[in-house]
Amino acid sequence: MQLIIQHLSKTYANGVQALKDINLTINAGMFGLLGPNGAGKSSLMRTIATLQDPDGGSIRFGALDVLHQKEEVRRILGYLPQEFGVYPKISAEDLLDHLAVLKGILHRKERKELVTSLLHKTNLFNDRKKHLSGYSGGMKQRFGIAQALLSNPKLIIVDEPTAGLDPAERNRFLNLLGELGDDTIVILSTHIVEDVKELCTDMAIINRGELLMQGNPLKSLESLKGKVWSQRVSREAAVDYKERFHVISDKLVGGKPTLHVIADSQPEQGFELVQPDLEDVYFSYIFGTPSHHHTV
Amino acid sequence: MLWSIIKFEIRYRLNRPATYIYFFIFFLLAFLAVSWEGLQFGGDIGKIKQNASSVLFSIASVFGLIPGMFIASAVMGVPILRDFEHKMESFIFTTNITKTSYLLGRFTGSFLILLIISTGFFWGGYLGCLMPWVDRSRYLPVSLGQFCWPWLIMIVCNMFVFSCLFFACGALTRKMLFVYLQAIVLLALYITVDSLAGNIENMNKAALIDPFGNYTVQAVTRYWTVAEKNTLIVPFSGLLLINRLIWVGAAVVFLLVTFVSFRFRSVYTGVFKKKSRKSKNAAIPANQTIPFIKPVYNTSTWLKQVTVLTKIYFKEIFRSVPFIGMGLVGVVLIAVNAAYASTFYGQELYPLSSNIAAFIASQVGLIISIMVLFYSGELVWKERDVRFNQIFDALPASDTVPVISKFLALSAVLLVYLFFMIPIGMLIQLFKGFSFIEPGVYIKILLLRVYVPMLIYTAMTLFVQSLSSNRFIGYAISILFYIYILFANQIKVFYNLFIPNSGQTGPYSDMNGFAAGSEKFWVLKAFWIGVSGLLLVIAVLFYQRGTDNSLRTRLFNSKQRFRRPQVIVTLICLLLALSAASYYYINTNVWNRYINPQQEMDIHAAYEKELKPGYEKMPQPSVVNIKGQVDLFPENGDLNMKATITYKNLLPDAITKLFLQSPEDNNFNFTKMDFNVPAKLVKSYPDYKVKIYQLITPLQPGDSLELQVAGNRIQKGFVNGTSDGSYVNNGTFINNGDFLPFIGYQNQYELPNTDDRKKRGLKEQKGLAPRTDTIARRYNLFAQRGRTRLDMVISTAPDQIAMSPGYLKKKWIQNGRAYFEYQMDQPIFNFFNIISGRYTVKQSKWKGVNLEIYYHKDHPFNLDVMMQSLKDGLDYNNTHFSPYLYRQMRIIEYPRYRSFAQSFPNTVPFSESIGFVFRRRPEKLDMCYYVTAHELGHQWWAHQVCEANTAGAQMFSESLSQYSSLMLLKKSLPIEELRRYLKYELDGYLNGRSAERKNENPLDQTDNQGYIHYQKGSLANFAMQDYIGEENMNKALRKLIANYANGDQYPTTDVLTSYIREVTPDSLKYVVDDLYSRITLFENRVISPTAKKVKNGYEVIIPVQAVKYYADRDGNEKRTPVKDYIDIGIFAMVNDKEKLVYLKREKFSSEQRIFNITLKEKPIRAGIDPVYKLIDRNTEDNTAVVEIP
Repeated sequence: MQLIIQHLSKTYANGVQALKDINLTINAGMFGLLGPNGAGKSSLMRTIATLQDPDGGSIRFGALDVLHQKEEVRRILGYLPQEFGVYPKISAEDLLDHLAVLKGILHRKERKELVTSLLHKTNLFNDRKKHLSGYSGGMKQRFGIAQALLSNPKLIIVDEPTAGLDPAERNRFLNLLGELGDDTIVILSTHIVEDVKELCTDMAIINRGELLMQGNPLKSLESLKGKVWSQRVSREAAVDYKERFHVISDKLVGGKPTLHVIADSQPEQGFELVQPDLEDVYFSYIFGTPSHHHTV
Repeated sequence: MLWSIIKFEIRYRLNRPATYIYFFIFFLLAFLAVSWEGLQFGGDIGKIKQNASSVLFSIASVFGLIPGMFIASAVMGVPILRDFEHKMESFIFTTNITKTSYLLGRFTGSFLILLIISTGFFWGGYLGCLMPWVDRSRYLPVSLGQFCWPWLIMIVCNMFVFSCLFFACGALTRKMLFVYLQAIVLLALYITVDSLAGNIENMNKAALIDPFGNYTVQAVTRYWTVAEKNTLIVPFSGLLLINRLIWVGAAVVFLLVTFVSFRFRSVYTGVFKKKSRKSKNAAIPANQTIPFIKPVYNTSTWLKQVTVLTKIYFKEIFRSVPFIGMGLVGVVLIAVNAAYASTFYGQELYPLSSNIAAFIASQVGLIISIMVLFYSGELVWKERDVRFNQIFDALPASDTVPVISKFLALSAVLLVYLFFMIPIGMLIQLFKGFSFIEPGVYIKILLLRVYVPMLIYTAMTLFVQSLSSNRFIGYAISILFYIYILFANQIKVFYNLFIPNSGQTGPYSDMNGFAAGSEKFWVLKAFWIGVSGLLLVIAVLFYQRGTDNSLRTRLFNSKQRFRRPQVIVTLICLLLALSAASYYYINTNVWNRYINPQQEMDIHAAYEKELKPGYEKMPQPSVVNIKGQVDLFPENGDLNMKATITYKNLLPDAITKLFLQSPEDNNFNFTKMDFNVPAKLVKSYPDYKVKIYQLITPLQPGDSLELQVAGNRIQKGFVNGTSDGSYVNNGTFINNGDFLPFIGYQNQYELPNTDDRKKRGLKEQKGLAPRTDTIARRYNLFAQRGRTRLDMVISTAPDQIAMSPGYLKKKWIQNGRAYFEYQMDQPIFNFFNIISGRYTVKQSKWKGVNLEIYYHKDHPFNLDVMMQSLKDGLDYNNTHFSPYLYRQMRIIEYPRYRSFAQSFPNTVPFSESIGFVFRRRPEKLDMCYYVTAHELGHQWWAHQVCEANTAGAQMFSESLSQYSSLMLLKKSLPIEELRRYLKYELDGYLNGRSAERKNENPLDQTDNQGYIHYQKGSLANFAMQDYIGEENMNKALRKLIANYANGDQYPTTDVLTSYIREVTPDSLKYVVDDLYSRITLFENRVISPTAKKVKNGYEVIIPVQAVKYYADRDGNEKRTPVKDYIDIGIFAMVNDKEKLVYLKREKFSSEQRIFNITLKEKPIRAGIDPVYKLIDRNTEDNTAVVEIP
């Protein structure tokens, strides 16, 4: 099954154009949606998750018209929003059980097994009686994925799930995502490139509401092969370099800026060719020239 | 530092729109309070000026509560709290601000803003008084200064107190919830004060503890006459000063506690720690596959979804602090007020289930409506509040699920809360030593009176919240909505279909349930339930789902959501609402005539304008014989009647025209009106149901004519207004005016209220004719002349007993109906009743007179007391006045939809709520005994001697009946208890005169002024017999009977006072004038009595002061020299009880006197006029504790 997004646009009442003519086709598997904060990722995710309507365009999921058959879409949807809270005075187990009912799982005994299994899966079983208000960030996210999985969804949307998690929690969470079935579409939005690198077979980059690229992460690396140059410079010199070259990233390594520049040949003495990583791909699109706007 | 924090706080507040809204609310309310008749405080009393000091103080004290307390909680609860809510505390606490300047700065800044907000009171009030459309004559000269004083003493003080309390609570608990809870506790305290104040002995207590000062102002000004209210400034001394000091003191303490205990660090998490729960650890199984289940989506899914969500919300509410808090406040209120739950004149009532359930309903009503208001907002915004909305909104549940679940959850919570009240009510009954418990009555009263209306409110507020774009706007609209309902009548909306949630059960009668209004109640509720259903559908259509909630999206979504189920529900609700509304309309406008109260007043005004000039003085014949039959159909309120009435000309002039007035009751019509002499209908006024007949041959003095009438009452459906409950299934009670024609112009149909008359171009209503009016003196109390014979056949339902005055001649069953024939063997005034119900009868005899009490089977409590009272009264009145006229005396219970007792010849209908449920306590005044004796008294004072219909009239029938019963009390009660009763009468009189709309008359000129002829009448007659001796007083009354009883002569009050004067020694003749012909007031007080031990007892020194005033009819007082005889009394402990051991009347010739009295007993209290025989506004200082060094 495919999720096909066509000509999707949205402008908010305050004038912000969150989505500009987005076209995307997403296949089963893990799909990474990369983009900086405010790029329009959440707007896109919420639109797919039936939470808001676009101004124009269409979204189809298999035979379903997502924008008009919301009820049907919600039945096969698992959604983990970027930020969420829960009713304060209810335990994880109870809430999960109640949510299962709301998701149409009516048989009491089966439901109980499902909930128990998901709690085990998300490693929350020992904390199942705790009130959710007492959960740590990572536990809450794991609870979030547990509730998203309840109805064995065909479409799973997880919005910035790793933001604010410590590395161990993040790994645990990504492992969990990684186990999801192959016949499911999982859309993972994030601004952390590593997440995509580790999990996704397909990805897209959006910025300021525009789709900058869509493609296989590995293939996109190919396209930058031999084009990424790096040099450590002094802080004072960095400004000057940024004016002269097409600097896509500027990271401090050991307190000194390390610049990455895209160029077909060595831009200047001192630059070394480096193996491009996904971050370079990402930055090349975010800070890159418009000529790169293609599907690779 | 401090100053900059204050400035910051002020600037912060000034930048918030709420500040200006609050100011505007104060402004608007004050503006309306002084300029709009719909909103009046203590000023709705005709002549009191709208900007008089006492009125402004009342307004200010009410504003301290609404909106004052709510605004104060919103402004003062948050200054500290908000730093925590916005997680700013770490920023602030790490700067170099000191704790004191932080707290003091925040407090001062917010408080200053609050003060500015509250100035809306005087700006609004001031401008309101100056508006061009107001009636200038209702205002004193307006100045801003008038408003400053009440603002300062009431509003500023209150604001300071609330500020301290809310600030402390907000800072210490860091939860806004607790601030709100505190507000509710204050409100509860106020309700307690309210019940305290119901008992005048507690008035001072109430005045001291009222946090709003409302009752304090009332206590201070309660006895002020109109003139005083218009001239005096409420003094800032005495009770008011103490009250203010108590509360300001308490507030300062709170503030100090806050300053001391506030922790100036951020890790402090408030007063409640979070609990964490541990669960059993279990080994994590190895990678097993998740046992997914295929979801099912059908109707049962929908039901399960609703069930599970309802459960979640139910638990959320049930465990939340505000619910527990409010719920407890309700319970505490009930517990505290249970003691005062059922009192009347300080008289306890039997805690019948219906009484206690009604009490509970009244106590929890406000709290439940606050719950509905608050939780509608909480629930609608729940998911957004906890930020669960995105997950929630993407769940595969229909849009109807959350709305319906929220409604059901709140409904369930309210139901549980109400059911929880039932055992509490039962406990109260048991504690009061009463074990006749009727759970069904609780359920009926609580469900119908509280629950059903609250469900409708719930739907309405949920609707408002669902449509609002934010919760506080939702709250504001809901509150406006409540206000509209409260004030609908004031803004002249009368038709019930336009007043949301209209439909009231009316009082619950043990005899009849809610029968008086139940059909109308259910029709209206069906309408509102239909409307609520529609509102809930709209709430579903506009329910905010997802993250984009612009109006356009919601409109668009609403169309999409209007699918089959919604359409079906809409149609059903629409059908229900429309059919209920149509049925209501048919009832009120087709089957019955609809006129609103305004139009009704127009008709009364037109009646007076059109008919008074021509017909008021027209001579009319008198009724001398009535022979008739009345068939009652209690099951549906129908009636058939026929009668032959003989009229006789008892006047010196010939009569040419007859003015026949049919009963006002729109359901009743005469079908036949035939005279036995030639008469021509010359004029008909269908609006007033008046017909004028011309007699072809004038009716000469002494001649008579006969009228044959037949008529029926067909009750179809109900009316928009309230029905008086005359016609009911069990206990129908009507009188002759309800089914027989009146003759002559009826003054009683005129509009009484001066303001209403003014608006319709009528002058103030003329009172009773002067005593010198010889024409008026021809007519008696009933505005008639002569007496009539009576022979009535009454039929009713077969299981009922029907009665009218007279002796039962015959009773039989015919065609499945019960028939009774009653006949009077001597003429009575044309004033009699018919009553019918299912009764149990208690019988007794007194010297050949049959005594009977017809009562509802569950009300046997006071039968013996009533019998005793009848016997004692018959004894007393027979011995001292004249023989009883009849061979029987009957008391008959009727439902409590009306609450009075009325004395017809040998027949006294007694409301269920009076007497039958009074609970007797040993040594306490027994109201049942007293009221019975009063009604018996009327058998002499009204039915034997009947006064002329001139000024002072009721000084005979009412004041003398009071006297008859008071003399029984005097025999049966110790003086210390009697004194309690006199104090109630005194309070009633003083209150009554302060609320006088026209003029206060002396007792012998009383003009339908109850506080004069009942309360002052009791006091004056008691004092008179005390001065001249009971026997002398009775001698005067015997002379009255000898000269006036049972004839066509009607005495005026000067006759009575002259008889009393005859038996009064010269030295006391002034007393007759002071009591009956003048308005006399005393200021009697004792100044620090002391005593010292001497041989054989104590020498008591009692310095007293007596000041005497005469008041004019407007209430202006003039001090006058004291030359009076006044009691001096001393109390001592006898058998552990305070007893009046010394009482002596002393002659005063100056205002100050000191008495030296030697006494055997050890004195406890001493002073002047200890039994309250004289009118004195402050009886507290009449006696004082005797200091014994």
